[in-house]
Amino acid sequence: MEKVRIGLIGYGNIGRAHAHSIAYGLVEGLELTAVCDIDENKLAQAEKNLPGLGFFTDYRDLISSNMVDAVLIATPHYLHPPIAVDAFVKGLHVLTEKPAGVYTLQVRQMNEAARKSGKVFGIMFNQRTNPLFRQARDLVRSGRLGRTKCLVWIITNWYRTQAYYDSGTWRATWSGEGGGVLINQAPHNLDLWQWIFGMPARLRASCCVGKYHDIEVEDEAAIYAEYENGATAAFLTSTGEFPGTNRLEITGELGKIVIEDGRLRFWELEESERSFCFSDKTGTALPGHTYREFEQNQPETAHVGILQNFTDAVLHGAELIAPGYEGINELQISNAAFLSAWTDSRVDLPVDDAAFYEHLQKRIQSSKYKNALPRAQTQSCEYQSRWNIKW
Amino acid sequence: MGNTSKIRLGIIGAGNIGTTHIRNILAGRCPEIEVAAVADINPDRLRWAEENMPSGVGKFDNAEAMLDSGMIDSALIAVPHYDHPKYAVACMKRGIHVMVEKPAGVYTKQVREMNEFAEKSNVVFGMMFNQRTDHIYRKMREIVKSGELGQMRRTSWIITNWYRPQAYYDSGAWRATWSGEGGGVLLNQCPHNLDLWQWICGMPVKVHAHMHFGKWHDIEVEDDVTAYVEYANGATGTFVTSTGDTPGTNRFEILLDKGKLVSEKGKLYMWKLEQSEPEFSKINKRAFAEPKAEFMEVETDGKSEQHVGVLNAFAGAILRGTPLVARGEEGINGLMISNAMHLSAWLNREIELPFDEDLFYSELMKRVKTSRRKEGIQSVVSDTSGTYNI
Repeated sequence: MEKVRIGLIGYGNIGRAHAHSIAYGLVEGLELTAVCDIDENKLAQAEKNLPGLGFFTDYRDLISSNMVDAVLIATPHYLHPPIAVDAFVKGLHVLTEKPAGVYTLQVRQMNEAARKSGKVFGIMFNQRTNPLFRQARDLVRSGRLGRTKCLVWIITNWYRTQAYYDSGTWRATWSGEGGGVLINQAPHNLDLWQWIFGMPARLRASCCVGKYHDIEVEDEAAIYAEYENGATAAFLTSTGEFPGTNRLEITGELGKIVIEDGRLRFWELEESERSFCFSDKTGTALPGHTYREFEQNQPETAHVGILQNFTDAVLHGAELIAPGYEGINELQISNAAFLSAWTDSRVDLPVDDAAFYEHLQKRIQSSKYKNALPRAQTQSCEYQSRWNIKW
Repeated sequence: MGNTSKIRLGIIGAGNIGTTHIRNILAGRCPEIEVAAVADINPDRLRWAEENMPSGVGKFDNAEAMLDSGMIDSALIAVPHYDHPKYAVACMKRGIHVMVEKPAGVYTKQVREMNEFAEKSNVVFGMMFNQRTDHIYRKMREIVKSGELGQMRRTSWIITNWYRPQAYYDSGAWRATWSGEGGGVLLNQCPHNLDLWQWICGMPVKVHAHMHFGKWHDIEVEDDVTAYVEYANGATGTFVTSTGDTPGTNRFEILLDKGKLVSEKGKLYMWKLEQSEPEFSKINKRAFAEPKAEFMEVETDGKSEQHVGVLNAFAGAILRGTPLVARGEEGINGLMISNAMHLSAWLNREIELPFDEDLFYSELMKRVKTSRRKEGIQSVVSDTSGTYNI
């Protein structure tokens, strides 16, 4: 195979940006051959913007069309797993947008289908391409930071207006989107958190529903988590703050990392804090440390980077930056956070799939699908800056 | 009365901080204060006073004798925390002005009783909240209270640069025990921060704390806390502290309707929106619009008089009726927050303020009963300047 033929399922905000970057040849070895959208207006726009492709209103037709080797799923979240499962059954490779799904039960089924198919399975965690987050991960995983102690991430610069929430009937409803900030914006950060620092063992969360917006889902969340090794984490996120903050701090026995404003700052202790603590005799001394700063000197390859990496995996067996199987990790955290907030109790991970699903269903039952505002005439087909890391 | 241009101060407790105060006064930094007497139950400390202070200074092995001696008109209480209210009341009963080291006490019930007594007495009553003199915190308070940035929405304080090695905890038998100190980081280091937090952001109405006891040290009290709070107006807050992290962080952030304040590394940064976010949100129709914000580093007067500032204001209040840095009655506020955090951790649930003070006391006493006062500790008085996190 010299080229991967990919079909886009979902010509929405993010989908069309992916479609156009592929169509304009930004991804070597990847060719856009089909587009699917259940909304005929959207499909008509796609036909106008990208003539000559296969166009479908039913994804099953696209999957069976023999026009594609892979699919890129950019539909509302609930549909990510079922579409992926069908694609795997048909022997196609799958790249899905985040989140992997809405509830772990469906994502488990998707992972199972992926395993059975043996096909390449990726997820669009584009923020993993940022060199600062990768450096933090290396420092932690290599042991340079020592045993992990504490993570604090204030990631509240995900500001969204009421108009944003009104722009789609599916947005910010339990039945349409499956959650608020934790299911739409924060998956990037929840994924990076576990990618760098590992999965917690239990957590306690508070979710504020419709605090800053007229929505039925959460627009602010605070998570406190504990690890098997005794480490703790505090994660704060919001779509209602401006200017907000994006500051990730990680502490280990051998030092501290802070990522903020496009810079990674690294304090490295001369000796392990744990050994210093019990060897010091003065009672007032502090361990020595060195300090270094690293600027982000290359832009992250972001969405196109993930598309390229996916293509390289299919064509050359390259290792995936964001394997689809890992999508369940951040979802475990957000599902646990919802469950903790709904039951006002501590929740152990892995989350009880069935218990979460039951609680979610209750909310879906009373969910109100909204009327969308009329869309603007011209829709940009480029990656919007709000989809990149904002410092 | 003696020389009315100086107050005659008695020090109750010449340990780490008591000695620091004495040294500052002897160095001439408090021109309106004379240390007239020192009281300490530890003969080593009286010997230190003998060797390091002018010969006329009174030396007593118990506080009451000093209070009854006629040598002092004011007192600074720097004994272990449980006894702060007891000695404060003893001073007030005798018409002696009183400055209390932080915390005001260990449990709000005893501090409430002290405050009630203060109300009835006619003395100057202050708390040693020296960090209130810091230019950054004063400026933050000024900006928040002025309403310039609107209503508060979120406040997050990561205050983890309170590192203490094990030797610190071993330096006193009273330290880090329920029976001796009454708590860990929340009762010793964080009273400053909890006071500042409420002084600037107001008192929360709900507290949920995740606490770890002896996590980083061989102690029975807390040395690691992550707390989540809520305010009456719906704002939320987070407070993260530890004595086991180094180099640690001190970053205090406040998000408001019309802007943001961040204090870190001796600087104060402000983002100010052209219009408040709620106003913007109401009229904006574009999905991806953002309010306009102006960023600046806030200018301050740069002053930070700390302990000396508090003592001088205390003298001024006694001699001229000028304001204190921190009124004694306010000591209960930060203590309410830390008591609520302890209660939340002990009962493993969210606590609403005001909480049941008798319940807190009984939970505390449970732990005092099984508290292991450390044996064979050689009491160590250290030069702790540089560890007060100013």
